[in-house]
Amino acid sequence: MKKSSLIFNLFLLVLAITALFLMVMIKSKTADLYESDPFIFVYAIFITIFQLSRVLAAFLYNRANHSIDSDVDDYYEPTVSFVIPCKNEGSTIGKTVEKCFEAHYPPSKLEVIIINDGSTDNTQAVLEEYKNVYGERLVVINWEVNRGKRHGMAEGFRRAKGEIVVQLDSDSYITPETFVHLIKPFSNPKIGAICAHADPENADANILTRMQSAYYFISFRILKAAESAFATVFCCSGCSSAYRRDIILPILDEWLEEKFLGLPVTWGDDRALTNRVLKDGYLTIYTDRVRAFTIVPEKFGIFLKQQVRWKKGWFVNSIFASKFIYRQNPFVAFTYFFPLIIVTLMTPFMAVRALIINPLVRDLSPFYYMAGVLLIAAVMTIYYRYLDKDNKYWPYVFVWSGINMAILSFILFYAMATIQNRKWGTR
Amino acid sequence: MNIESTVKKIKILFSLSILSVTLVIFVGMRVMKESVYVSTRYIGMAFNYLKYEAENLNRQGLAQAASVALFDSNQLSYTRDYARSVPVLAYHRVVESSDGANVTAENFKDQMFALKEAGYRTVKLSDLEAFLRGDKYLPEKSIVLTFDDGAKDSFYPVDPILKALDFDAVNFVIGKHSVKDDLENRDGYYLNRDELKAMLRSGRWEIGSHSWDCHGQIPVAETGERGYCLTSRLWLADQSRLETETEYLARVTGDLALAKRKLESELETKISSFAFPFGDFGYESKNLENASTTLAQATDRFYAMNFYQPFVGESTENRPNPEAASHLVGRIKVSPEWSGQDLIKKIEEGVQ
Repeated sequence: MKKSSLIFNLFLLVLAITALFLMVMIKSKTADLYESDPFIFVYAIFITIFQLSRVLAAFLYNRANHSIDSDVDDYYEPTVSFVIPCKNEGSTIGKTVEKCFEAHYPPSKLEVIIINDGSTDNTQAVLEEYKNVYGERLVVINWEVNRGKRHGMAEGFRRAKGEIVVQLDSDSYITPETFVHLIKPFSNPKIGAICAHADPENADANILTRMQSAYYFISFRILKAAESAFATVFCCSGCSSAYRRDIILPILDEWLEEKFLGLPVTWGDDRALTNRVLKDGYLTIYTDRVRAFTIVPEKFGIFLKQQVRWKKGWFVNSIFASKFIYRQNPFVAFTYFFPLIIVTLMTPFMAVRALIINPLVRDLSPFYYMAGVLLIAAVMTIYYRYLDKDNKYWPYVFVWSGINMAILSFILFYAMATIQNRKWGTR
Repeated sequence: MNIESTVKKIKILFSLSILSVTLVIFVGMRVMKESVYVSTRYIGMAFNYLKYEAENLNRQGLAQAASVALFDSNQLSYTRDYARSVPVLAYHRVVESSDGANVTAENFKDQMFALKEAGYRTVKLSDLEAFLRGDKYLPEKSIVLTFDDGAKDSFYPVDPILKALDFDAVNFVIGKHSVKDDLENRDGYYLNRDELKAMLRSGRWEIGSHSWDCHGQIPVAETGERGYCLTSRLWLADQSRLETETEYLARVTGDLALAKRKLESELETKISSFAFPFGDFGYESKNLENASTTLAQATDRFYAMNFYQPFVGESTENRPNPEAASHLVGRIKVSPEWSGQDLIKKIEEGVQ
């Protein structure tokens, strides 16, 4: 991520101050409208402060990052196992395996475990060929019948010989030269899981993927970084994260058999795993020094399905985490975790109220609400530009924020309504 | 340093920054809510100003181009004569659509541009006073723009045009309506104290008195007949009598004194001019002989210039009168229908 010139940064600072000024101005101008609705008024201020707090926390992330770096034992070089469940990935699995072995890390300390989970294409044949190249260091587990990603992961963890297990999606890879930064921080025994920075590999496929690129940057480099400032990342993304094996093994069965309302949970496996690491009192962090790439959906329908799965995962795991987080880490629980739940649950209602009910019933303009959403997006975008001047997807933050306001915030309710549908969503 | 102690520090920094952001938001809201400058109307004026300035430059450019084309070098070395009389225009509000009493924005703009193009320049009240005393010569085509009542509509639609044309103006405000709690009067009909202060700060506006609370009608006889507050004696219903002339003089003196004192202290400016409500300095009194003479005892005590409304057909000229202790200034009541050219003609005629 390239830092930018002083003048550019000053320009961003001016923009940020303008955005804040306009935000406060809108609040001051709408204060009267809320006189009959003090709750809405308090909520509007609360949500603004909450969203700004994420940017502030992300600002503090570098401090945490430096502290972790300075703590690293340079001689620490544990054995590492990649665990990659896959199904019908004959065309891409080869590249994924190659990238793992290209990592700038002693080859003797690397192991790749592929769980071929009931593929019906040439995946098995492709893997056999790679087996000839890498020999013992590539472990292929072939399952005739598909058992699901979570079972594949669990099998991988059990078979792993490495002290650190790197979880990868079958179409994701970690840039070889940055890989080592995903492992080094584990030299601090309190760190249980590390999440890499992921960007979409197919970013330029269409508008949807460009928008997801902007969304990924914000969710990783701002939102996860903000969580990481307190060494409490709630979801080490399934596409590229590393775990300490010794921590995972004792909780593997419980994680594998996770149930919600009596049925097995088939989504949010990554979030569920990270939460269990947190529950055991370990630190979880995000690192922007490791760059991973993954494939994102190119079709809107598939994208929506993915979102629904993520929301379900978020919902179920938020309930799980709310049972321990207030004891484990009260500061994060009350400044972030519970406020986030309130905001996420309230946003759809507020959007309906401001965009539909107010204009139709009370003849109030939805302008102020939209301007508020736009300004928060603007603040995020300004910080985005500050963090990485060369990332060209920033205009799509506004597209994302518009779609989020209109559609995505409501998906949570669809997800909650269909929570008993436990089909494994396709990618 | 280990990560736990760093996280502790981050928690402290984070809490402090959240608190500051919260503070900034609340203080900012409070300040902006009360601020005159942060309002849609005020910000809207900036855009209107640009519009008028562009039109002004455009017109000037055309005029200049025309003069160059005609080789009219005389215009450049044109020297002015001195003014024999300074006309004063009286407006109330400037409104979007015609209501029969107030000038529309369209006509007002036309009138102002006509004044500008005819070569008129506005002068300050102090200049007018010095002129009337005979202490100062003013250039020909000097003029004073005045607005009565201190309504918001006498400022927001007007100020951008003044700014674009480099004109000044006077607003005669009714003390009781304008100098009160600002939050209460923020979106009301009248300009509030902060708005008036902002006007004074702009340097374009001067404030005059339009009475404290005597801009209306009062009972003036047992029959319930009503007359102007400032020029008629009040019917005291509980005592079944009119107030005496002395009581009358005390009442109006009290009002005028209060208006001057309160406006001066609240707005931190000198209030030296007074505009008679309804332009009436005594002619329309219902029940007081020589009302104008009696009233003048009060007005002349506090104000150096008292602006009144001449009847139709009367002169509106204001010539120097060194003998007078205080000056009666006649104003041209601008009719809503007048175009810019009509106004110029009226000014030149010097007759209402």
